[in-house]
Amino acid sequence: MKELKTQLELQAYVDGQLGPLATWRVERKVASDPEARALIARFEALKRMLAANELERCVPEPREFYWSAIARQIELLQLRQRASGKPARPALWLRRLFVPALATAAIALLIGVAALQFNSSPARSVSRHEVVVAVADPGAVTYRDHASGVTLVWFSYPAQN
Amino acid sequence: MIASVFGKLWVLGALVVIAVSTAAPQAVYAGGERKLEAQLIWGTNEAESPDPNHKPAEPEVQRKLRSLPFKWTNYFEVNRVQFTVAQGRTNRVVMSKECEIAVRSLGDTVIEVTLFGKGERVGTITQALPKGELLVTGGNAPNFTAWFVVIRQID
Repeated sequence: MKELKTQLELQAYVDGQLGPLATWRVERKVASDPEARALIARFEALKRMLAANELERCVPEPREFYWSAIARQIELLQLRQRASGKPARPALWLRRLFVPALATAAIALLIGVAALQFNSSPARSVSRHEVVVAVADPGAVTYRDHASGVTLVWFSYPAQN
Repeated sequence: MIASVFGKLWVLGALVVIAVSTAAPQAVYAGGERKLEAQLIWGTNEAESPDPNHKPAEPEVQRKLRSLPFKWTNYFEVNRVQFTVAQGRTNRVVMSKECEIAVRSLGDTVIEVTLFGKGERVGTITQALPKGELLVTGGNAPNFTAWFVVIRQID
């Protein structure tokens, strides 16, 4: 008993489906292999029998009408499938659109704030309520009244009228 | 199709937000010219100033000076000067024959004030001065009185 691959190869040979090189190989094998020859003979007999006894089916409609009806059925089926498909919910659609946008905007805002905070400008190194005093007068005193928004720097500098 | 277009738009929008959030403060500071006002104030317990040119300090300034831990009850305005200072520039302002200030804008709301008495540098103060707040420098004056230079933003 030939293995399945060889059987399929021989079957293809009988059906004329092999290329020239494969056909040459099979013919060489068949010439020296009686079992292969017998298998080919069986396949050829089966082929002839099928061709001679194929059941003829008659349809009442003309050929074009018959196939066009099948084509319409297929189209109708496709339309129903499309119609039964759930449309995307608006909320989901909005989420898909705006969530990445908002997330990116938030990141951008953080970058902006960080850029402000860590900017190396000397002005921005002074916080809102920080007072930097460089005085020649060592007796200077700084006082901050947060409630009234007043910063006082008191010098011992003796003004004279 | 629409989602694809909007997808590109939000990327573009995000880039715009990044650009604005980082560049906008720079733009404000770069073009910023601050309008400031300096007042030379005399603090005393006298009801009236001997100098007829002096007038009572405006009520808002008096109220804020009185909120400070001082003993003086009356404050008189000796001089008032309004001036502008561009970012990074210094403006020197003469408050009186003996008192001058040099104000430098460092950007944002921060200013650097250098006080001069009789032409000598007394001290330099670096301070954020947002609108509505006062920067007050002061010191003792003869006869148990006091001098003040009050600086504020006026726009």
